[in-house]
Amino acid sequence: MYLQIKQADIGYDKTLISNADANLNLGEVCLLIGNNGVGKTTLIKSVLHQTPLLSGEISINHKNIKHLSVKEIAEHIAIVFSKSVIPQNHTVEDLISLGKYIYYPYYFELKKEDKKEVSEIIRELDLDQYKHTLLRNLSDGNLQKAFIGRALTQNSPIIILDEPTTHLDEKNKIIILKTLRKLAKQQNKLILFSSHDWRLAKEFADKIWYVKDQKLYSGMVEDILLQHEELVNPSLFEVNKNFVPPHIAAPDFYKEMLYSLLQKNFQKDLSPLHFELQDKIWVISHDSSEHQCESFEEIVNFIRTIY
Amino acid sequence: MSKKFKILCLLLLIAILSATVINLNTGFLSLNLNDFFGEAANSQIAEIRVNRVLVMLLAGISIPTSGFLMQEYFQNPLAGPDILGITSIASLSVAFYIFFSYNIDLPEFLQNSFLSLSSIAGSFVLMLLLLSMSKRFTDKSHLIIFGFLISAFAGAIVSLLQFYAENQSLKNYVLWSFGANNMVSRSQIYVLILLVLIGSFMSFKSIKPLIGNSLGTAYAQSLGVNLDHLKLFIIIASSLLSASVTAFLGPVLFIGIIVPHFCRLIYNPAKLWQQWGLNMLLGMLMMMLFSIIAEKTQIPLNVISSLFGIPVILTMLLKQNKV
Repeated sequence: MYLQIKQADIGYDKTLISNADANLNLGEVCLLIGNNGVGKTTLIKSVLHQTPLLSGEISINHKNIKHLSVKEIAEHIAIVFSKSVIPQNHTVEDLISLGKYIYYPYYFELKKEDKKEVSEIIRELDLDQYKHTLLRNLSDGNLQKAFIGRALTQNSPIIILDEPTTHLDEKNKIIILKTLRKLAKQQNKLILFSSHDWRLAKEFADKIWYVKDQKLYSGMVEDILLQHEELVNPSLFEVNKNFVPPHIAAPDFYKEMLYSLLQKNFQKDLSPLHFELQDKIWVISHDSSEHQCESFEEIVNFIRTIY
Repeated sequence: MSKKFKILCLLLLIAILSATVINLNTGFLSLNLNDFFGEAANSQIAEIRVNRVLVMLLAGISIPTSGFLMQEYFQNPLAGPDILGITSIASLSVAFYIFFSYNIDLPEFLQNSFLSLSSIAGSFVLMLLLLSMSKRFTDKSHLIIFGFLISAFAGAIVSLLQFYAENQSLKNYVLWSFGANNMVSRSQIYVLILLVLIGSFMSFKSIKPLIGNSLGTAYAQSLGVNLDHLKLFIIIASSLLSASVTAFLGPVLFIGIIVPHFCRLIYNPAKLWQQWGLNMLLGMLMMMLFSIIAEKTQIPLNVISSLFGIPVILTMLLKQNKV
């Protein structure tokens, strides 16, 4: 139980999460999920001891954070906030080097090994070409990667990231989550990150902390996702209610594409239709007659002529 | 330390040394080496010049450092040593002294001391006030607003005093505000050295926390920076450095804002330790040069620094923008 929350009330003047009980071990990756404004960032700030708990206790390595100094907390936790002040004159290298801040009494200049480590992390995050670029000239995604790099360089046992993948494209999201999981498994770190993208997180996290209705539900990813359907409910994606899908015979991905195309465009019962993909041509059987379409646009036009 | 920085420092040191030698040679009379060592005829003048050089060097160390700290702490490129109101209060204290001591006959040498004393006393009171108020101002910008209010208040009172003052007092005050006071005695210099040492030590203590503060207060806390200590060090350092020089030299304003910018143009602005050092070196060099020009042309120091400083910075800025 490296990180433990015991019967804690979390919030500012009013309670956002009441009677929270959860714990995480080193080597675990945990996803923190919940709607906007539900208290995720407040929870993170409470763990950092930047926001005081209204009641209860949070402990790191069996020590109550109330009794830890700011320096000791810094040695245990590296953080990536969702927003921050962008220093005017720092380059990517300057920012990532700041991860080593806590290891130097005066931080005059980095030692050779530390400089090497910074360069390696820059390379791992695919930021080599931006090494000497000013932060204010970076795209949002690269900036986010740079801040994550800073936390990685700090080498603390716990890494907490508040919405680390918001600005990242799919490829970079996966790079980051893979790196975090590798850190957890190979270097025995505790990773806690918040995200709205539960699907991607499902592949990379061991545990979930789900905040809903002022309560914190914690457990294994698969358990919590099954227990809380509202998180994964595909019906959220239904644009219209009167749609009944037709029968579709095609590989999974084509089937999914056709499904979303039809449900976006038609509020009808399409069950009398039968779609089959033959050699990249869609064959539509309708009323014992067949029609062939080559593109999705043709399909939409054809169905419009029928109905 | 990178090679570029070492070379830069070396060049600056050589320039400062040369400027110092020239400064010692500048003045109404021309002196030779004997006058500086031993009891020659012009020893007194030599001593005055040495004092002048020492004061200028100390001012060059202090004022730009104070401005540098203010600019970094408040992340405001227009911040100067006066942003917390120290110089304004120092001016107010001096004004009080000049205008109310008109009827009191003090010997010449004491007059100068009391002037400086009143300036330091006033600034000290303000520094204590700032330290106690700083706990209530969690938002940094409120501290700036407080300083602005202090400056406005001090300015209003000084105007009032000037309005009702005797002619001679008025002229004395105006001359003081030009930064024209070159007559600093050796014992006053020792006091100045002590204050500058304490202020510089405080500024030394504040550099690492300032580096940690560059990502904002949330990150600073997460890096183990004690923000209350940082505020304390910054207020004490800036107050001591600017108040001590203002007390003996009058308000020296322009240098505090411009030298930090100059340093950012010639070396990586993200490296705060190097910037701290450069500010002191460049500050000393500029004060030496301005003091030479002020001696030769008999124009007050503040006027010189504005007239010469502005075009120099402008050319550097334009050169940067071309690239």
